[in-house]
This record gives sequence, C-alpha cells and structure tokens, in this order.
Amino acid sequence: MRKTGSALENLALVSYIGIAMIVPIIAGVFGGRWLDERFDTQPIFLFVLIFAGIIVGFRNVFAITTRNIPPRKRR
Amino acid sequence: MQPIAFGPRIIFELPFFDGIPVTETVVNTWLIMIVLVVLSILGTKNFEKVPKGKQNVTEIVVDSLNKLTIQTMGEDKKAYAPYMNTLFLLLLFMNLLGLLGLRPPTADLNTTMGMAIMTFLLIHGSGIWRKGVGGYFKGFAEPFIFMIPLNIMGELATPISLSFRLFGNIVGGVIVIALSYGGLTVLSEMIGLSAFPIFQGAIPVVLHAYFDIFAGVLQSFIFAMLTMVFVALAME
Repeated sequence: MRKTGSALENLALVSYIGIAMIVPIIAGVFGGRWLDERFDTQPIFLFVLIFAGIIVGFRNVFAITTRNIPPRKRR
Repeated sequence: MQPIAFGPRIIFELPFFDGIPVTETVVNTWLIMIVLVVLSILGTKNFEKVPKGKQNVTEIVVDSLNKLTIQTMGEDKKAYAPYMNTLFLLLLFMNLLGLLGLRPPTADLNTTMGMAIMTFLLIHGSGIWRKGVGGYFKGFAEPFIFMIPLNIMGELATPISLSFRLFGNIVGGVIVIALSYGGLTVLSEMIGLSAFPIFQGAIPVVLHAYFDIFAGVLQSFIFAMLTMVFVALAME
C-alpha cells in the first residue's frame, strides 16, 4: 500500500532534513540573545539555547530518518 | 528609474481602527478563492453515470489526489483527503499566480505562516483525538523525562520550517524575476529597442519556468506531503 507513494514521500522528507536541523539552532540564537538582553546575563542564555537548539535539531533529524524503522521491526 | 519595492503593495485600506491596510496578498488570495470556487462548482455540476468532458477532468484530479493521500497516510486516514486536496490545490494556484504577472500570495510570510499554523493545529489535534490527551502528551516524555522541553521545541520548529521554506522559495523567485525584468528593460533601452522589448520578452521565460512552475509545483506538493506525513506520524 505504501510502496508507490514512498518515493515522493521520502523526497519531501529528505528536503525537510536540512531546514529541520537549522531552524532550532537559529531560534536558539535569537531566543538566547533576547533573553540575555532582558535579564542582562550575556552570554549564558545564548550558549544554553544554542546547545539546546543543536540537540533539538538532531532530534528532529532522528525523528524524520527513523520514522519507518519501528513498524518494520514490529512485523 | 523608480526604486523596486519587493513588499506587497497596499491596495486599499479598511476604514476601521485608523485604517487596516489590505495588501496585494489578500486581494490575490480572494482572486484564487473565486477561481477555485467557480471551478469546483462548474466541475461538479450535472454529474452523469458515464463521465465525459469536464467530469472526466474533475474525476482525474480528485481521484489522483485522493489516492496520493491514501498512499501516504494509509487507508484508515482517508477522511483527511479533502483537506489535503484543498491545501495542495490552493498552494498550487497561489504559486502559479506569478505566471500571470501577479504577486503570488505565498510570497508573504503571513499566508505561509497561517497555513503552517493550520498544519500544526491539525497535527496535534489529530494526535490528541486519536490517543487521548494524556496518551498524546505522554509521548513527549519519551525516551527520557528531561526530553520534554526539547521535544516541545522540536515540535514548535515544524510550522517555522514549513512556512519559511515555502515563503523563501517563492519570494526568492519573485525578487529574481522582478530584478531581471528591471535590468532587462534598461538593457533594451540602452541599445535603442525601447519600443521593441526583445530582452524582457524572452529571457524571463526561463526564470518563470524554473521559479514559478518547477519550484512552485514542487513546494506546494512538498507542503501538502509533509502535512500528510506529520499528521500520520502524530496518529501512529
């Protein structure tokens, strides 16, 4: 049932990997700078949120790339 | 020569709250809404048992889009097909509007962000509907309990990445095409062909083919496809 659709589906997902990785990091940079300016704590929040953004980026890529594996294992 | 402005022009202002500006984006969206509504009314009028003419076209479009949704999301989720088909057709018509010389509504972050927020609500609404509130939010605590803020951040990144990729692709095309028209007009005038615009008549065809047709169709397809994949993923 999913055979023929999977090529286009995976093409869409592959094109999503790059942006899914970069968006949390950039959000971390901007969010961290904003929090630092607000609480006058340069550069603690910047580094913490960049690090969190990197982890979230990898989590997103992991979620996308492994989404087909658990159902196969269950079978 | 006038400076080229890339933002959407304000067509008129609504006379409430010191004037609400109504931009090109909104007016072009109305245009597409009219076209789609008229097409769907004309296409679904007078259905017969043996299809012919426009009924064939309607059936091919609706059937192939329904099949795509079923293939991607699974047979049990075919109730999502009407939304996904509408999303795809709306984005397709929006992206192809650049061919008519009008500004595509998707070249405005408000449009794409609105669509992406609808996708976001649909993803989590479907997840909660399928698994129950407790069961769905327990999924955020996997694999460890301290992953909760990171998982939430990851989910919040979905609408941002969806909207920015569509917006970036389309607005990039709009800017490149506008710049090329401007530059080629100057080039035609420089060699004394202002009455016979040979350059801006021929060269932007390639840019329209790439940015409007190729990137436009691909991006609308990817947007609808990712919406399907994420909704199916949240419900699994």
